[in-house]
Amino acid sequence: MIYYFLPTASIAGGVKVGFQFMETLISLGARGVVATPGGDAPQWFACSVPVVDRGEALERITPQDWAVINWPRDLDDLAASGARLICHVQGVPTMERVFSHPGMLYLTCWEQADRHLQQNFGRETIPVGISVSQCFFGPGEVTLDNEAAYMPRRGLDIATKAAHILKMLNWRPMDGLDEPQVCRYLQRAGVYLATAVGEQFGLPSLEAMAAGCLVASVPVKGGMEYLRDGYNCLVDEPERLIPRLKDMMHPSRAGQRELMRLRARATAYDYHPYALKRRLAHLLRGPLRELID
Amino acid sequence: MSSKLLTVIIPSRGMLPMLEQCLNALGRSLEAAGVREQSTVAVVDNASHPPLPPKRIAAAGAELLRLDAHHCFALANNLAARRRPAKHYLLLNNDVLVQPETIGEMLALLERNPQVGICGARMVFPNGSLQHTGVVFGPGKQGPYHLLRTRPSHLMSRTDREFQAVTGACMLIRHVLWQELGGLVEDYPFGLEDIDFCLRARQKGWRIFCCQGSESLHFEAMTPGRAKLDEPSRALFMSRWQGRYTIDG
Repeated sequence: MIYYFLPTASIAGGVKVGFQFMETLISLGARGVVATPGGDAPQWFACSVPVVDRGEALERITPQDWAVINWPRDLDDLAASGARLICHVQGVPTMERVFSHPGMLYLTCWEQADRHLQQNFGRETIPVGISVSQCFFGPGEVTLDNEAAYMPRRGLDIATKAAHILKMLNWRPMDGLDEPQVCRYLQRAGVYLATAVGEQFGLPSLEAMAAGCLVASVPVKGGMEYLRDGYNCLVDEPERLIPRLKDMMHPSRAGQRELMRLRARATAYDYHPYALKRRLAHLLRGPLRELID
Repeated sequence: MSSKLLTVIIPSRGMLPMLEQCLNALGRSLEAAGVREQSTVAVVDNASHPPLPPKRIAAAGAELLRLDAHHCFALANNLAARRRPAKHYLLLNNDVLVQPETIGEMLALLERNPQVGICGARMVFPNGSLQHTGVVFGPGKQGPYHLLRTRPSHLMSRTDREFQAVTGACMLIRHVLWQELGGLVEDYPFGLEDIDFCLRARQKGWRIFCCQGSESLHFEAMTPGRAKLDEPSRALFMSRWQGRYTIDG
C-alpha cells in the first residue's frame, strides 16, 4: 500500500501534482491513498483518489508499505513509521534533510529537480514527470486574442505594469478559483502572463500552454524544460518581457502568435495524462515494480 | 467460513410478487454462471406484515431469515452475511431483475482482478434509460449521484470502468473486504450505507468497478416508506463524508 502524505488539500500546484501522480498509479494497479490532516480531500479539481486522515495513516502504516513524502516536516514521522520511503520531488528548497536521508527512493517531477539531486546530493533518481489535467486540452471557450490572464498571488506589480503598458488587452486575474474555472479562463485567454520570478513549480504556465495560450513568463526554476523562449513562449526578465509581449501583440504578428500557441499546445501534449500513464506503466514494469503489491 | 462461493442477500419488506420475479431472474443468472450449487440465496424478511410465506420463498430457491421488528437495510444485510458466510456476497434489492449473464460477468471481474473488492452492475429503468453505471461525486452539497442516470442506455459506453462507489442495489463484495470493514454501517436509516461502504473500502486500498456487459432491470425505490428515510440518511452521510471524498463528477 502507498500512503502519499500531503500537508493540505487546499489550492496549491503541488497538491494537484501529488493527487494526479497517485491517480495514475492507482489506475495502473497500485494500492494507495493520500493522507492529509483531518482526511480533507481537495474540492477544487477533479480526481478520484481516496483520502484518509494523516493520523490514521500513521497508525496503519507498516514496514511493508510505502510512504511518499514531499513536505520536509513529515520526514521525522514517516521515518519513524518504518515504512519504505519515497520522495516525490516537486520543489527543492528546504528539502535538504529529506535529500540527505539514507534509503530514500527519489522520484523527480522536473529535469531541474533531477539535476539538483544528482549534482548536489549525489542521489540516483527516477524521473516520473507530471501531467496536466485533461480538461485543459479539451475544446472549450473561444480564444480571444486580446484577453490576458494572470495570477496575482506572486508578481502582482509585474502584471500591473504590463496592464498599464498593454492597454489593448483585457486583463483577468485568476485567484482562488477551482480547476474548471481556471480552465475556462485559460481557454478564453489568448495570453497568459506568468509573473512569479524564480517559481519552483510552473504548473499554471503548462496548463496555459495546454489551453492554447501564448505564454509570456518571467524566468522560473521549475518548468524551464518546456518553456522554450521564442519557440513556444516568451521568457525574459520582467523589464524586457513586457516590451517583447507588446511587440508580439502587434496586429501584424497575429500569425506568429498563433504559431506560438500551436507549438505551446503541442509541447503540452507531452504532459497529457496519457503520457504520464504510459511513462509510469513502463516504470512499474522496471525500477518501480515493487510499488505494485 | 463456509465453503460456499456466494451468498446473495435480498432484504425485503413485503412486495412478494416483485420478490418472486427477482428470485426467478436471479436463479437463471446463477444457473448461467454455473454457480447455483455453490450459492445460497438469503431473503431477509424485514418485519413484513403479513410475513413472507416460507414455502413460496423456498419454492423460489431461497432461504428465509425473519426479522420480527423492522430494522435498517444495513442490519438486514449484516445479519445474513453473518449467518450465511461465503467467499463473496451479492447485495441485491428485491426490485432488481438481473440478466442471465450478470452474475457470471461480475464474478469473472473479481476473479481477474484481485485488487477489486467490489463490483457493481449496469442497470436500466423499465423504459430503457440508465439507472446505474456507477456513482460519482459532485462538489458541495451535490454529493454522490448516479452517473448518466436516465440517459439512453444504448448510446452509452459498455466498457467496464472504475468508480469511487457503486450502488448497493446489486453489489458483489469479497468476504475478506466485508470482514475487514465489519459489514455495512448500521447508522443509516435507509440509503447511502452502500456508498459509505465503498468509500471505506477505497480507504483500505481496494478498487471498485462497475460491470457494463449486461444491463439488469431496476425499478428503484419500490419499498413503502423509503422516501422519508432518504433525507436523514443523506444528512448523516454528508455530515460524515462531505469534504473527505474527491470530486469526480
